[in-house]
Amino acid sequence: MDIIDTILTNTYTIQDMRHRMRILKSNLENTLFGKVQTEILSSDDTIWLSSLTLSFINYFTKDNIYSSFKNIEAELKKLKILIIYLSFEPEQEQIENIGKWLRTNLTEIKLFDIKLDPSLLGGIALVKNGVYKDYSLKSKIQEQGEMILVEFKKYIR
Amino acid sequence: MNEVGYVLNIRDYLITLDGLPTVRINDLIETQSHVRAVISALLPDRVEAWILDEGTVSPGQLFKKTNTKLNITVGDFLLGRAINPIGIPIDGKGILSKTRGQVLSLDQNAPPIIKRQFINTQLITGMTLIDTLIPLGKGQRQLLLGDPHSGKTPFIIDLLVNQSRLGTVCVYTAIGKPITAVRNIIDTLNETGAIKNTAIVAASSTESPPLIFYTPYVGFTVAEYFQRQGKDVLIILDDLGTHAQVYRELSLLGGRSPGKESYPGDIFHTHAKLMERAGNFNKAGGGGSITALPVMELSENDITGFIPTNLMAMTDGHLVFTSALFAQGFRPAADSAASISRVGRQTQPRLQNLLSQAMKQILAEASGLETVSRFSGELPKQTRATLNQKEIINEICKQEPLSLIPPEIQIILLGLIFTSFLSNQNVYFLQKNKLKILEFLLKESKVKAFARSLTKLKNLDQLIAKLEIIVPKLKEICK
Repeated sequence: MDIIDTILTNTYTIQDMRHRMRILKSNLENTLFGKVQTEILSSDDTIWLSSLTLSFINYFTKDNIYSSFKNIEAELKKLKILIIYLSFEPEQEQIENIGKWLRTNLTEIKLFDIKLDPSLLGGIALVKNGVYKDYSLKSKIQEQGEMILVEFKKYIR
Repeated sequence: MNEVGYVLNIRDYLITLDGLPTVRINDLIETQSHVRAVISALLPDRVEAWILDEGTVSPGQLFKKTNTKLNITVGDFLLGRAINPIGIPIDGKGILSKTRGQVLSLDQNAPPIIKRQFINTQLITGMTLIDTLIPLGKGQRQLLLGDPHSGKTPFIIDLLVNQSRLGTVCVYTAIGKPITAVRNIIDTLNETGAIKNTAIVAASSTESPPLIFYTPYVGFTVAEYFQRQGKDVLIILDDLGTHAQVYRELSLLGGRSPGKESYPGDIFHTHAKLMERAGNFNKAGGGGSITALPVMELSENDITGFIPTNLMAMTDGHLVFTSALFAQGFRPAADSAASISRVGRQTQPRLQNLLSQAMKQILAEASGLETVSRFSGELPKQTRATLNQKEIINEICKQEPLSLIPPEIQIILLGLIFTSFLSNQNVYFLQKNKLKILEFLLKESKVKAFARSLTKLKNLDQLIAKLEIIVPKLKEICK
């Protein structure tokens, strides 16, 4: 779990987790078995890889790399994931802020998944353990539809 | 608050989802574009569902719980119509008028014993062979077994047409039949007018396996709707062999352990639970009855297969149709020696019961003598008489398609064998004059009253004595 904790330190979404696992594996394969794949990494990826400590990198050897990744993937499947529906695509900074807030306030949530649903109009909808909770503007409008119509009618001449 | 699940993988029409923590078997789930699926299995960390509607489903797609079970809207509007298992009309007669419809769940438990009553009324088929030798009771479950082209479908059509004439509500369920066969039955029932008392539920072989699988459940739900109104209902499940094969396909795709002949372990339970929904019900159960005729197509007349023996074990008898009899012109082509009805005899009137016993005795004696007769050119008079009687019985039991012979006329026809009218005649005489005799018996107004008076008789001697009254008239007709 130490390895997972290290990866999770500044990884918040399931997409980022999958991406970082892939580039880490590719990087380690290049280091351990010679250049196998050549992939041009983005600056964010390079920064993240260089942020990993030497002891973390040295943990992986030719003998344990594949079994270790298999174990990590099995452990990751056990993690509870919060799915967040948003009506807009958040910036990386916003994702990090959401992630930090979640880890402080909901300790059991280590990762979340952002899904885009413009029909929400605003607010969010959350899915945890298969339960869907809608805190979006769309649901509020639907709930208060009649009242909103009455209010609108006041302004119709 | 709602429950959702995300598609993990898709294999044909089977999807695996995570999430949906409180769903149960047979719950409906749907996508935002209203593609529905039904929960088929609950696993520790995921659920399996069968896709019912056409539409694209991709990994990661969201399915929402609908809080409804698999159901169908039923009502009187179904009579005269043909629908598929999700209630869409397939007969080209336009949309269904669903006013006063009821939404009923497909997978209902069979009514308990407290809501049932003894089967005591005969289901008149209008066919001499069935009504006399292998009688059916209202609420009975009778299996129809037979090779392809052994006359099962003509029998079913005759039965549906005759039942429609007698006012029984019929539900014909086509399970994975070729689309042309379904069309043919719809057209025949339309032509004969029998469709007005019949509801057809059909999933052709081109439909998705989940839809085919649910067809008999829809059929029974429709039948139960009419039965709860106190009506007598006849349901035909054509056929449960295909149903078992479809369930096998679904189960193997879902990774269930295969059992005997690769069928899933719960195939007996699945069919038995379905068959239990038939029966004769008391007022607490809504009155009315559901007579179920499951059909099973055999391979090379082998009745010892896994599914045929299963079905035999869960029904109250079976009719065995053979292609040999069908080829010889027997209609219905049911083999009376291999067929059995465990419930029907208790519903027969006393006289018909006695007549049935006498017929069976002659047929049994004759079949023993037939073997001997092959080795001997010259037979004793008594042996020849018995063999002749068998041929005459067989000839009487041969019936024109779509014809209905009332039970009292059946009694007269069979009783004539023992009178001076047929006792000295051979089968050729009967073949030549059968239509004339039938016309006289069915159309002559005086015969109707005479026939009704026969039902009060206590034994065969009284019957024979009474039948001698009309023998001169019959002899005159057949001159």
